[in-house]
Amino acid sequence: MAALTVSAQNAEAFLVGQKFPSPATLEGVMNALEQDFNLPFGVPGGMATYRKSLALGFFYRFYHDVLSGLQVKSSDLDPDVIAEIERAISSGKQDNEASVAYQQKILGKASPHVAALKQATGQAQYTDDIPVQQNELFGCMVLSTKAHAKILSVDVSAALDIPGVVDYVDHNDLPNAAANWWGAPVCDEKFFAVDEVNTAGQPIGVILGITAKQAEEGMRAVKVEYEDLPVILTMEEAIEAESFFEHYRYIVDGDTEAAFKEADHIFTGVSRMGGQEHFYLETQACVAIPKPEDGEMEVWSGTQNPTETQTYIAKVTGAAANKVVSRVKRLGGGFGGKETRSVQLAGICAAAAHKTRRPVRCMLNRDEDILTSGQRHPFLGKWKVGVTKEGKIVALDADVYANGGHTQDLSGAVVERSLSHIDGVYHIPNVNVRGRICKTNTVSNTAFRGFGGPQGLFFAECYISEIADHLNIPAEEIRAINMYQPGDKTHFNQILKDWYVPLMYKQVLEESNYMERRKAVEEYNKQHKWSKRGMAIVPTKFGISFTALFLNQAGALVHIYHDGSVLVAHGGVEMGQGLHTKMTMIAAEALQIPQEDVYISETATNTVANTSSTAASASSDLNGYAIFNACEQINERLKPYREKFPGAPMSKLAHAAYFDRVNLSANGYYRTPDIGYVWGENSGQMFFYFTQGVTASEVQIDTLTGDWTPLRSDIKMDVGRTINPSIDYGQIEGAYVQGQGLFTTEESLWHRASGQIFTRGPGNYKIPGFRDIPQIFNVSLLKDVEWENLRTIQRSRGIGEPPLFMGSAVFFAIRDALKHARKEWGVTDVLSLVSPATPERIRVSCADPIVERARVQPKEGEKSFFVAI
Amino acid sequence: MAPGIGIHEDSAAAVEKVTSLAQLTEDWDDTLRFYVNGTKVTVDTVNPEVTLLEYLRGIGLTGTKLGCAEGGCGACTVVVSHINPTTKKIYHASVNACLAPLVSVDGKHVITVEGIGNVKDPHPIQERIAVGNGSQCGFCTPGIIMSLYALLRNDPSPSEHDVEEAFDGNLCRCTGYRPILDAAQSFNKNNSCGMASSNGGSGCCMEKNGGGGCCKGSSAGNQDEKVEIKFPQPDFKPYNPDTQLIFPAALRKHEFRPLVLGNKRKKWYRPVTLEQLLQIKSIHPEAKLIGGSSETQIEIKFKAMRYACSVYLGDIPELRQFEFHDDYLEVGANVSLTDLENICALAVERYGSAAGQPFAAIKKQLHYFAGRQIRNVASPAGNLATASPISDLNPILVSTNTTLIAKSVGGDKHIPMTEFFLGYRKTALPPDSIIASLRIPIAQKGEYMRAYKQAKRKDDDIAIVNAALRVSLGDQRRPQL
Repeated sequence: MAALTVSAQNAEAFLVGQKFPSPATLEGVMNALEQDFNLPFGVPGGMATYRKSLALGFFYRFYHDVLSGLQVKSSDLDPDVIAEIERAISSGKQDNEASVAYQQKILGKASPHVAALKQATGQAQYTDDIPVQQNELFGCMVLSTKAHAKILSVDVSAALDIPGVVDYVDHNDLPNAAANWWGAPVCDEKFFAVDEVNTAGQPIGVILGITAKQAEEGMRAVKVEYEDLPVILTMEEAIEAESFFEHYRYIVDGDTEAAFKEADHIFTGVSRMGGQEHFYLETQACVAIPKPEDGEMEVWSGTQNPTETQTYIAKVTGAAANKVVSRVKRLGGGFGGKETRSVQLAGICAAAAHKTRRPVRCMLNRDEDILTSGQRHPFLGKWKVGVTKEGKIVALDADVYANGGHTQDLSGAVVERSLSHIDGVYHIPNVNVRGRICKTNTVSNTAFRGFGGPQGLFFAECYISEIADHLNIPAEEIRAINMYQPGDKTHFNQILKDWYVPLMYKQVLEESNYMERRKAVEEYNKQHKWSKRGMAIVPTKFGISFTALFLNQAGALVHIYHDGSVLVAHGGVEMGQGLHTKMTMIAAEALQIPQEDVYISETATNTVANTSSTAASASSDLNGYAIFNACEQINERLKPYREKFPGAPMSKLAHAAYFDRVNLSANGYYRTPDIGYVWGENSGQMFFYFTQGVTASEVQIDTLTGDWTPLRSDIKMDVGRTINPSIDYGQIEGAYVQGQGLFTTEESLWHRASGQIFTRGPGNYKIPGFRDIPQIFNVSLLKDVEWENLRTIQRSRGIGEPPLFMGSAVFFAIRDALKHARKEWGVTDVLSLVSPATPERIRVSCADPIVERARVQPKEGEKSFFVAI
Repeated sequence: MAPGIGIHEDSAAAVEKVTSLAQLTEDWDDTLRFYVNGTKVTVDTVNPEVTLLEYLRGIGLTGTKLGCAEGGCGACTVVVSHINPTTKKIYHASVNACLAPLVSVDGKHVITVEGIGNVKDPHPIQERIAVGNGSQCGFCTPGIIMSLYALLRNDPSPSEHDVEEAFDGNLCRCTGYRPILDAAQSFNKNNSCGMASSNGGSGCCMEKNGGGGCCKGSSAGNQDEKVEIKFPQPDFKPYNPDTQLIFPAALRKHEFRPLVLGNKRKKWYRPVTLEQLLQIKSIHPEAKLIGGSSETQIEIKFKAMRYACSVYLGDIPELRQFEFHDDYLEVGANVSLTDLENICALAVERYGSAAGQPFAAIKKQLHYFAGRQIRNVASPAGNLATASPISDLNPILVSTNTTLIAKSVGGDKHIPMTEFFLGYRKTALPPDSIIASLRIPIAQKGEYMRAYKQAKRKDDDIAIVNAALRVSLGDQRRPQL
């Protein structure tokens, strides 16, 4: 409220000598507090209205708390305002019997992550745990401090004078100008800025020091002079300036114009959601080790994409790909943030290692990571829906915008996925949706679990909620009457097979006693003036396949040693998701050996070549089948030995086969059949299948402060036949909580004046903590159905991304609670709630007299201190 | 006026005049002596800028991870066992190794995730978190395990509630926390039958049927409490507090000597008496005083601040005492916030709920003040000297009319908290003085006092607004000054 701890002097002066328990005293103090804390709209730190409302609200709460201890007229007392939210002990249930019907020896059974014990004892090795190499240098990037500027000069002389600083590397040290460019599918980003910077945090060069501290000190001593250029940060600014990348996509199905003419109602809306920082616990890290011969280089990079890493390292070092090995043991989390953005650091380290002929290591500080590595795309959707009077949607028209940042990265594919998910789970006969990427001066936004899917699905649930409010029909009903039925076609002409959303919707309603609890919530809200509860049940479908067709392939290499032990390599990276666990299970089941006999050591480009990134929830499907394929080849060769020695262990079989000169290695391969969508034509199959789910959530909000708590969530997912229920539950719970963070506490903010991102670490960027999860947290897997058309390995479904959107159930439950809160004060117009629903947004969306008197309007030309891009 | 803590009013006069730090510290030792995972370590050549985390990773203990370098994620959590000068008892403090200066572990026992078990012989915590699916990418796991380890070392039979709250300084991005909490709750006093002393000796039922699991997991077990088993736990090892790493006997006798170490760029001073500290301050008022380093290390790391002369205060017992007086609590300004929580709980008990309102308010604010790892090292003095407007503690101290006792070689100065803050990070503390203690008055009859905080996230978050409100109602319920 001020630059120092201050007392509310007007309020204190007023209060002395007044009769405390009196409405006039309360009113007088509130007036005085308005003077004491008269924050301007552009106050440093932002949130003027919210902060003012808290100052007033705290006094209001205190006043009534004091009164409750005195004998006063009950009409003077507002007892509901006193209590604050306190959590109960967390609890939850999982259905541990879900896979009983189809369990095999190993597949389908619950077992822990194969590296869990190594991780829990500190023995698991991550990139920066690799011991220091002889003569190693540490890199520290020199990053632009300007969002958009010409570089006038870069002076490194002071840095190079610092003891321990060894060298400075920038674009001049690359083999040719073309080597400075990277990025896929569009190669439009520079490793090192040349002449101009387009975002704050763009690398200009890298200082190499003997220690990290010395490199950091050197980095700080580099002097860069800039000349400012105009800056675009937000989507709204980009739209106004028509600053877009060329990529433009649309899906047109049916005739929206005709349908709007016949619709009973047409509603329009603008929905906005913020991005999300990946906040993997392990920041980007790399160790690049040049080899003495033939320009070879070995690179340990924390990446989801060893092949792309290899490609660009070859480029910056001027070597052929066969001289570069890119290796990954494991990642401390990826979530899409290391799918492409890791290439930046790897390329820079490799260029530095190539120049100095010394190993170069860099693990980014958390702020550097956030500054350089991109986030989930913020999205803006301007939509129009035509609806019958019963609430059936007949047409959807939408313009969708994503903030791509200063380069394209994967933005094109992200926008495409938002367009293919903007139908939610709802059958809309006429659709016309268009997607563009805003070109701005922010960090280049990138893949993040869900990859545009959650943003498209969010728009769907926004128009569903707003239609429900316009028509005064419960949202649950609007969802039910618009829901796809089995055999329906999506707007991109894909027939829904093995479609279980309607079934799960019904099951979750029943299993969570949703309707009964809904009644209890109505009752609670009648009895509470300040504390409100809300509920929502949100369904999801998520299309599994890379939308770039060529990525839907995978390879594997299986060796059986003649002691019977098996080494598997495949193209997927272990980033905590349990991929290697599932893969060892598949190999063990296929080879009929114990799981302990199968080992996966690492992912490397010299064992499996030309791999796709570990992404799109498809890695188990793709690599699993490739491994299975390799095992089948070996099984074929081992057949005579199995016949000869029935029931013998692999050691005996392999030993015998080896002495008969039988090849005990196989290279497996797989590519996804059937798919191949053509944009524009709207033809061909986009996804191999859809992973599905339904979540019901209940929340409680404290309307006086915007504080809130998730009371209960019930999640059901259709994962097909699970390969390992423990791993799948882990993915569901983890993605759900990450999704809850996306839609509630996680808010990236930029400092408007400098154009720099402000939220650079856990201090001001809040991912959910232990005590933010649903107090009651129940998860189950769909069972007792058949998956006739699912042709994946084990008939299982990809699960990494699909549950993330389930976290939005909390957002829509908050929205529901806000509806009640606003109704309490007679406000019934339709609420357009921006995501994330932070305590600030919750509070200022209320309509009580305290927040109304706290509202701060901008003066002419006054801008907020922070801005969400 | 009551005497200050640990130093007599006239002691200042006894302080000998010295003119340079070199002269003052001529006889001071330059060697750190501590234990790591049960092994004695002596260090006399150390870069004064290294943190505990850098030191540990540098000697190959890479199980402890760097996640954020600002004490906000808990990936670097280790346990520092020491004899707490406030309680005189052994305390196993979970701390953020990314913030802790190495000098702060002299005379203490540092326990890392490698020290408590390995894959062949995991600690029960490690085993249960792993088998219970509490580790996905695993980067947060060592820190989470050490937080739970600290909890169990301090209390082998924690309540469900204690377990639930034990992780407010840890973040995980993968699991959604539920499996970690389930694994952790298997150690609470309802689920772990074992070693609670009230159970009578060593009688862990794990020994039943030849080690076939805990009685609480079988129907034949204790029927009194119905305990829901959330995941299969057939062969879990019991947690036995008697077989944990012991607090090294040598450390019980460790002589805390004044230390000076470092080089031209940076020197660390570790005085062990108030007198030594006051002398340093009198000769060199710019010396940076550091308690938990939870603020300073962030300034060094992210704001490139340089403190050439740093003074570690954690081992000066005189600044870590407390005393109940009839109408106020006097508390040493350098008690840890964890201790302050406990002291306030005692104060509420002693003064009763009406007179104890200020202490209840402090306790409430501390509940949502940073994470446990920070509260284990941070102090009221740090809050006050930093004078950050976001401190959750400062509004209470102002609103209660607390008096701050500043000390220098020249004597004591009593500063009302209402006059202490002068501007953004500016205070009325004289440059040669240190914050010695706080006198927090009890609430008088007719007084009401509450504190509030709102942040984006409940645990471990900076307040958007925090407030302490106090009113004293006199005749006819009219507020009075």
